[in-house]
Amino acid sequence: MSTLSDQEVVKIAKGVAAANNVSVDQVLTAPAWDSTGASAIEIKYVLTPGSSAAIMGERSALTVSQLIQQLADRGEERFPIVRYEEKVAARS
Amino acid sequence: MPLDPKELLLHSDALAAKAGATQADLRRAISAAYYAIFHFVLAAAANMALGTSSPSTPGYGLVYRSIDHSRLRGLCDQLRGTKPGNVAITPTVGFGRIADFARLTVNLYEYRILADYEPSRDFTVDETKVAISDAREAIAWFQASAEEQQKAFLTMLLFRQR
Repeated sequence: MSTLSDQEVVKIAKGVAAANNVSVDQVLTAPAWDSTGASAIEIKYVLTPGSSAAIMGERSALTVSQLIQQLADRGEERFPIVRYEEKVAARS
Repeated sequence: MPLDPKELLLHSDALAAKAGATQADLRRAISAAYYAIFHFVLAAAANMALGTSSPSTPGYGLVYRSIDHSRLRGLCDQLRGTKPGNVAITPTVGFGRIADFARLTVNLYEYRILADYEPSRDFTVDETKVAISDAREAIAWFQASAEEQQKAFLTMLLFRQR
């Protein structure tokens, strides 16, 4: 089974987000299982505070699709389950 | 009448927009967003096979209910990469937006499994709204695809390669 390192996955995920103008604070990965019982990888985009509304529509959707596509093209066999989370703004 | 994908998405919107939305609200919203895509595809397949004028006939129901989640997930997963592996039909112009639709669909399916069954995850309002948005985009991409691309996808969904 071919798997990319977490660092490679994060690098690809950040590149896809940047290409779609998605403002990402960080990308988190975690091992997971998909619905078939196969090994999967959960990828969470932590968005900068207040930016989730701006990515609704094509920007978010393209980011998910292109990330899945690019990981597959690089031989990643685990299915990536892509999620978003908005970072909570620090209180001043 | 088949479930209306637009109604399911509006149901998701309402759950996610509730003041003080609970985890049950958000999980059901994500699940309904996936089901909007699922019923959209079932109707598209039945319409292609039998036409749009017969949703109450036994034949329409037979086609509509012949597709299950694992079948849809499996086909969508085959379109994950730029060069789809082992597919029976490749449109002359490639899969284009149908491949984007497929990737979003399988992601939302796995997301919905987490939302429906996984006790260790919590879901936020923001991510739920993005998931609903992704479901709308997936349906729009399918509808914007060429007829040849749609028919290739739906034919492979209905019929197994031997």
